[in-house]
Amino acid sequence: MLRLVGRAAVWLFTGLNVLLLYWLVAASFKTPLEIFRDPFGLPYTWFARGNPFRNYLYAWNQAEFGHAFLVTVVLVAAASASIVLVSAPAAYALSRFGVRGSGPLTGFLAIGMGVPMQTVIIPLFVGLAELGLTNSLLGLYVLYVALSVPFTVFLLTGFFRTLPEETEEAAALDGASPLRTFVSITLPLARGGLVTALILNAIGLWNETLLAIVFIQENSGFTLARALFTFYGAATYQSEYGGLIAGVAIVVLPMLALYLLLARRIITGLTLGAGK
Amino acid sequence: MAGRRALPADVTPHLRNRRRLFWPFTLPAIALYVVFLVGPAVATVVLGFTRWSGAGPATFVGLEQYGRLLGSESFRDAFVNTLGYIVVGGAGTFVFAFLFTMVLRGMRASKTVRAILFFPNIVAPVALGMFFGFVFKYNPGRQGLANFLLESLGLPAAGFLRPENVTWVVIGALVWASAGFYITIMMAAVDRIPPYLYEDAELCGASPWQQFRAVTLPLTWDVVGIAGVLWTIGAVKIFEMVFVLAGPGTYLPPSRTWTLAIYVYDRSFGAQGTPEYGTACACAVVMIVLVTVLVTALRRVMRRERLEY
Amino acid sequence: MRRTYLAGLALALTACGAQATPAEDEFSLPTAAAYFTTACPEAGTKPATDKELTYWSMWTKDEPQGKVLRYAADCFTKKTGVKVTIQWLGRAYLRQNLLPALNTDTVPDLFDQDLTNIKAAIVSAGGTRALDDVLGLKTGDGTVRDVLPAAYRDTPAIKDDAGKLFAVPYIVMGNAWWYDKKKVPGFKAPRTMDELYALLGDRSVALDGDIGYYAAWYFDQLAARYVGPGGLARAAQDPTGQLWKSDPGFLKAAEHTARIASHLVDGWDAGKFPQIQQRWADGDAAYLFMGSWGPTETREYLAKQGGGQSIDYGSFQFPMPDGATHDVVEVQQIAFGVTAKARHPEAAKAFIAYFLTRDLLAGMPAVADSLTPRRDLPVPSDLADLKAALEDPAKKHTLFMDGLDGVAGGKFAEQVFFPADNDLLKGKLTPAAFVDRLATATAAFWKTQG
Repeated sequence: MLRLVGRAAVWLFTGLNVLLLYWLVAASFKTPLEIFRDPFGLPYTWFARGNPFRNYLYAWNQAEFGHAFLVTVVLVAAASASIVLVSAPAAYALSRFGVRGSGPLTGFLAIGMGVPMQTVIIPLFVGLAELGLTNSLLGLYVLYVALSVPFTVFLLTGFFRTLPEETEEAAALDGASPLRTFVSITLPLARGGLVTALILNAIGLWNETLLAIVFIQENSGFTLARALFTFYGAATYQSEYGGLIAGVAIVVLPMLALYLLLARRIITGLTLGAGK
Repeated sequence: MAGRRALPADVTPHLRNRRRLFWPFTLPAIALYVVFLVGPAVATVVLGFTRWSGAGPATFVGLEQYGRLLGSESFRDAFVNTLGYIVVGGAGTFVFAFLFTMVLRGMRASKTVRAILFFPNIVAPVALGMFFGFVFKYNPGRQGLANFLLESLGLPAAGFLRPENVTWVVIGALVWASAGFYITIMMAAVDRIPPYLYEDAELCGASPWQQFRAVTLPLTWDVVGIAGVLWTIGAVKIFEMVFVLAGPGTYLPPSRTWTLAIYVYDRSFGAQGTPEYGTACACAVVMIVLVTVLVTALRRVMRRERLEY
Repeated sequence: MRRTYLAGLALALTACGAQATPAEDEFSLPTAAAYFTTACPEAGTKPATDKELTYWSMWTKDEPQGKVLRYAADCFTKKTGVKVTIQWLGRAYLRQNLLPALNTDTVPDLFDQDLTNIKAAIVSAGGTRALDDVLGLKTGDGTVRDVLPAAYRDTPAIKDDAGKLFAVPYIVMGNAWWYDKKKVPGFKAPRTMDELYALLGDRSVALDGDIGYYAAWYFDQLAARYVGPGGLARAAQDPTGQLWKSDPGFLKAAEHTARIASHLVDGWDAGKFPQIQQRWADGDAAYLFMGSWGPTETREYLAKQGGGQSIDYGSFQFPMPDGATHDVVEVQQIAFGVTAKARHPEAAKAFIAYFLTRDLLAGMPAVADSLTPRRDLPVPSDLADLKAALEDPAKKHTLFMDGLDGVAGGKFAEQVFFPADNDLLKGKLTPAAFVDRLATATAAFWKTQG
């Protein structure tokens, strides 16, 4: 009996999530009147008028999500790749070299995960302003990379620890240099972990809002989350709910696609990061 | 993380060679970390003892900024709210996660359900906040989803977004959005528990609750501890969701709904007048202290012998 | 979306001793579409050296005001060769973008916002430069001094502590009670508070309670009539807080505010801007106290809704409450400022002068449904009542909220005034308790501001 109630609750809750997703996608094709009067119906007005993508076109062009989309894709891809590039060797060395002090050093890095962004943002802003790196995508890129290092190193040390030592030793006996061993033996073995780290960082940065608000001032550097934040204000003045929800969809749907493709990897990656 | 003991100084030439690479491998990461996180964190602590508007020299004022924080009603609100998010939100999330682990274990569609529940974690908090703004709106005749449901059950609609209620609504939204993540972590740990333990328990006639108490909880204790730390770290910095859900979006929400993160933002980059970086930094230090104290306390409470199974 | 315009209303009234420029030729507003195709007027002032200009805007690209400014900027480029780069940043950008940027090298030449915001955020940080010399620059038709009435350029609100002009206005805003003329046949503006209460009826006042600024207007309008322009600001800045109590006008204003609160629609404090003002537009509430942008926003809402509804906008001012002696009307202006660090100040000033050219500025009423400081521009019919109130010689001008939202960089309103006002409107505080609370909270506030 209890179990039945529990299952019902679980399904209800799950259903709610699905409903939310449906609402978002449906609403992004609706007029404001439909959004509020008929929240669960299928969109029809824009379809009837032969302009089903009206809201998306509005968001893409008028609210400049199109440009922001490109900026975000490039920025997130470059930053995520750089993060892994910097973190993987560090995590490897910390977890596999057996150098004294590795443990405390790993701990020291891990503390960084617990430092809220807001607590360092003021010195960062002042410092980057000195270097002329505010209002600059390069500046934002550097911040994204640097601030993601603790989490990524922590995550990857977990992965490297699970790899078997034997293959590397065999390679070493064959006379391969340690660098070569790392590049041609260890990295391919750890591919799963690296990809997970890449994805998790990409998701986090894709949704990052605070740094983008503080550090980017001009439209040309707006990321999607930043553009959405600005558009939210304007859209309410203009009652542009259709365009707004389409904007939300432009932010959410790529992540959804990525998630559908890679859900298992994302979930195991995150839980591994937490479980280790 | 079964302990890899530090190996004796020079076992193999292979290892010695590798160790030469230690610094080249770790230095870039450590340098970035020190320059962009450790250094600024120290600078924040120092700035917390000054009065500074961002231009010109900073004046050293000792503990004055902390005195101002204590005297400020909006800081007290922000502190209490942040604690609320950590404690009440945390309790809610974990109760939720525990209940779900009880049910999900052995459920056939468990994997699918988990994947769906996890989804909100990859959605930008700004977008979630906007969505909940629509869900909780109060507008007779054109209610948001929540009030629509209440009314169809014959109950009176509620003013969810009133300043005095909205913190609870955000906590609820936060629990909903985060539950999937913690359920996933918990379930991953539960999956590692040998099934025969549950079979034995069931043979003895243990209820799901008893099974949870006697098997699940003890065997996932470490994971629960880590999840608790993760929750605390995440909840201390809650910002976007409150900003968007409790306020009109463009402007700051009413001060009684603030969190520490919003307070820092208001005194620095959200300031309409001259920024007060000193006050903002003092508040940031409070955030760091709060995380440290809570995480340490949590670890102490959760510490105990590891169970082998 | 048919609009009619009342031309020449400006002729009728010459308030505040300004030498109104008479509209010699009867100028009528173009339609929105025609505005964007009219030939660019000649520039009266051309920058000698500057070849470019950066402008950070409080509007977004797709808003009507944004479109008008974009058009003007393109014209400016055509006529002077100065390239204009515009960043569309939205209302909150002064806080989020410009202020932090003042300490960096990414500073625009030109920016805009309302006077209170500019003063609180940028002037107090020393971020602006004096614009008195702009008054002497030529627009396309006369100098800036000629086309801007003194009432809109010679007030304390637009000057810094040294008495220098820190901004040049291009939009004038007022506020008023709005109603739909179609729904209130035989409407007569209330002359006493009792008439107002009778008019408001049951739960018929719409208010988006999450915008503290809007919620503050009832008290602030009434108090200004008792204590006069500048009275609220003085009380807010009194470190002892006692002024709130020593002037009985505040208590009387609070008593009236509490009565108005009893007319607010159900759920006014549980919505999200702009839901409640949209409920007014939908006809759920009969009255809305709102700025002069109310018709623009609600009309756009009704059009986007696609429900085929429309409103015939009418407005009226608060009556004089018993015993009040100051007949006031609240004014705010949206103005251009030039940053202290500007690299192209000359071009920025030339653009300001250029935009005030009648044929260009006409876009604000014609496209964006806004009032401008120029008296020779016709007024959108929606705003006719409001414009008449603004130019009524019997009424004294006072700044929106008496500038309370700019006191201590906005922190005073946020921490002291808005929370107390919210409690008064909810009935959690009696009028007397409200005044007491203001007194103690004001004193406590200034103690921590050291």
